[in-house]
Amino acid sequence: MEIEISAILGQLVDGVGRGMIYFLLAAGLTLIFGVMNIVNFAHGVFYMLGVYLCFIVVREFGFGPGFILVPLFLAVIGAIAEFGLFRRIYKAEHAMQLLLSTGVIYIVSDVVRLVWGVSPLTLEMPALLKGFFSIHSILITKYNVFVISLTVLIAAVMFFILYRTKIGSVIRACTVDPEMTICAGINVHRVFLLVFMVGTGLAGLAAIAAAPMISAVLGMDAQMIIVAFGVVIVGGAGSIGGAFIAALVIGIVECLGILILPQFAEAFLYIIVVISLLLRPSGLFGKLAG
Amino acid sequence: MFFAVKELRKWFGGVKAVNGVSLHVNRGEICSIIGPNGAGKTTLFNLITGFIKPDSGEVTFLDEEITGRHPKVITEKGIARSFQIVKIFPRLTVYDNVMVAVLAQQGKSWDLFGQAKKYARGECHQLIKSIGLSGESRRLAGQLSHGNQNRLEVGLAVAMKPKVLLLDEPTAGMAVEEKAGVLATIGQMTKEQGCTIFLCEHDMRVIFEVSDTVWVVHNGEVVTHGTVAEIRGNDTVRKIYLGEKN
Amino acid sequence: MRLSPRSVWVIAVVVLCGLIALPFIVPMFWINLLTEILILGLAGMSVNLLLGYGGALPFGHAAFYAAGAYAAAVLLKKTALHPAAVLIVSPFIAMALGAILGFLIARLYRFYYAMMTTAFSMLVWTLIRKLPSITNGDDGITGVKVMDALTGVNNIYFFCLIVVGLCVFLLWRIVNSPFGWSLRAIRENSVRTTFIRIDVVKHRYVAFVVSSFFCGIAGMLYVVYSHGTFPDYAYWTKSADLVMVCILGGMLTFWGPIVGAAVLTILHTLTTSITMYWPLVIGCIICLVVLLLPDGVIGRLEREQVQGENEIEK
Repeated sequence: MEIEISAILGQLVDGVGRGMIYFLLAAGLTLIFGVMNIVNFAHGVFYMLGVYLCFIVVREFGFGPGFILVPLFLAVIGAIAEFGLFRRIYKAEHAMQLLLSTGVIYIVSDVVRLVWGVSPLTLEMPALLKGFFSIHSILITKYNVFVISLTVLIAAVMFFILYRTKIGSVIRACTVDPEMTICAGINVHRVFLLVFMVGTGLAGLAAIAAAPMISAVLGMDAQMIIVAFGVVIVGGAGSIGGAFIAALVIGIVECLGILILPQFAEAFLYIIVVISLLLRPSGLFGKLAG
Repeated sequence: MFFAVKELRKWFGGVKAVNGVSLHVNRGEICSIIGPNGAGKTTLFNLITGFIKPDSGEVTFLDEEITGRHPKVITEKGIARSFQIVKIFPRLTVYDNVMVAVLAQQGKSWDLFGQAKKYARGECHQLIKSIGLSGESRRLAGQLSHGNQNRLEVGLAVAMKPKVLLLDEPTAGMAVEEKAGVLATIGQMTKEQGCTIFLCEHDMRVIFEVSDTVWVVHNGEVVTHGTVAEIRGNDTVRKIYLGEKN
Repeated sequence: MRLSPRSVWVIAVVVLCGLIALPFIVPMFWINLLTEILILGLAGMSVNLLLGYGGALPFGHAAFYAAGAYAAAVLLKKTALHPAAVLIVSPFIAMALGAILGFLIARLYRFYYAMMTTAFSMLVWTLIRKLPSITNGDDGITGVKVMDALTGVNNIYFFCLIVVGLCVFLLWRIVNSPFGWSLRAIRENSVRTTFIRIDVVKHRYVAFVVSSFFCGIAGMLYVVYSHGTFPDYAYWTKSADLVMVCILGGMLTFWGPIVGAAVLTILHTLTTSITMYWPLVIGCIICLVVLLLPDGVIGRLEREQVQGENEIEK
């Protein structure tokens, strides 16, 4: 089996880039699941909404501002969803939460279908970020570099907020023991709202970051939600660091897998999740949530 | 040796929950463990019943070593236990709670096609009567009063037809009138079924009312043991329970 | 609303007679609908054995549904085995998968259990799509003829009615057996059950395997009904549908899944013919059900019944 080193390295970089998108998508979810113990299967469909929203936003305001606007839009939608729906099912069994998520998925999917139609849409890569860097015959897309840099920056910011600010320690306290945090006088409901908004906003960020690389098609949410939860499980519920590592691993394994077993590359995610759950259900850094 | 514990030890990090406890229980007696909160009584019960594994030490029952075996195995050998924080089946009725336990004890839990409600009716009702819940058999266990939940909790352990019954604070949180009922059940158990009872309690009156032997535990270690009269008159015990009135 | 067990059985008999008489009364369209409801209801009941009675969250039963379907379709189309043998063997293939997955989830609970089942079923989905030599890959298998006796809407309907009826009867016995009650106890307090001599891990495993068997039967029946099978039968959204059907109808009740299946199927059919916004409608209905009727349709009735019985004692 002869595979060139350059091909491997090329796929490696692609894998890192893919992993970054996975991280952005899963980071919000791991917070929501870890902090609020909510199984939000609708996270994928928010992401899809974000991708579709990019078309309007980029057309009206350009790509750059899109990076602020799309996450913002989605944060607002997240706020509405939390306030109107998810707030009422914190204490409910996961099965009920799943059911509610399914309802939201139906609604949002149909809205997307009605507004944008059923044909796939593609977003043009912004001119500034088109093209490749070539290092020792390895081709790295400029866009990849951009996504990786951006995500690392976001991850660093998240770490800083979580571990060096007061609000961050409050959020972490809620992950460990929400009831004690209430007793400590913290308005947990507001924290939850914030976390949900940030989580959904991050999905929006993942959406605009991914938009130029993929085509927007109905049903994309179904695939992505499994990836997102896979990352959450492998990384550990509530752990941003875990999500980062897990997302990287999954992204890289998927891309390298294409070289070895192109037919079954997509199965690697599922195999990783199965192995992770067998060996260490709580994930890399999480504690068993719920 | 009917039932004995030898040098049982369990530390949780720096906390010496159980620190070299040795005691023994004779067949047919009602034996109590007392000690202030945090003395290690519940941990001791957890160690004996296999809920957690000891760091070192031995538990023997009927000359067989059962240290650290799986709770299911220990229950099968004839040691049953009730929990301080009741672990009943809240969405099942009282009758169903008891029925599940009775059927499991009869080894029927693998019967996939029989009609559970037709088995052992007499026995279930008898058990419900003996724990004093006859009028409540169709009530959902989660809706019972606290005292009645305690009774059901004891009932589930009794359903195992144990040779040794470990009761972890069976009257915790109960009003005085309710405690009498549970005590009566305990006494009846020993007389009628020849069950040996190992009781862990906080309420002195309960202890002095029913016990044959009392073991005093403090900071994870056995301080002393003896009959009720001996313990009552013991100064060390009094000191441990500062402010306790006899 | 109080229903004595006697009345429930009377209603059941009446309903049964109605079901048998229907093909002679109503147009074919409704018979097909009913067949789909029966099959979906059976799949739902298999899931509910674990969800409602076992207190777990099985989110990958599409794998067994598809396994039963693909086993039937592949064996019928590609081998010369007698159709009756194929129909009997197919659920066992699903059950074999169940035996494997049951082992993987042995010590997992709640969401982690769910994710394991989902990951496993997605693996099955991938395998189905990527082994075209056996399964025809993404195209699925169509034009599966079972046997002459099983052609025609009415014949298929009666066959499904009989098989589902038999399965429902078996599930009824299982659920009300000491095993079934042990499952319920495990659901209520899995720690306690260990202390009353119930081996929690083994009981959950057996329940899982039994559940996968009945789900495989449902998949097999669907091939009989629709003469084909597709990879999407193993996709996680199908598993979600099965769970949804249980919760809609009431997961703590026996008949809940069938009621949920009826509600979902009829709603789907009705709304698709009236409006093209059916997902929107369904989505809103689901949200309303979760927020207002957390016990599902039947569950609400049963809760009142139990409370009614309790009141009589006072």
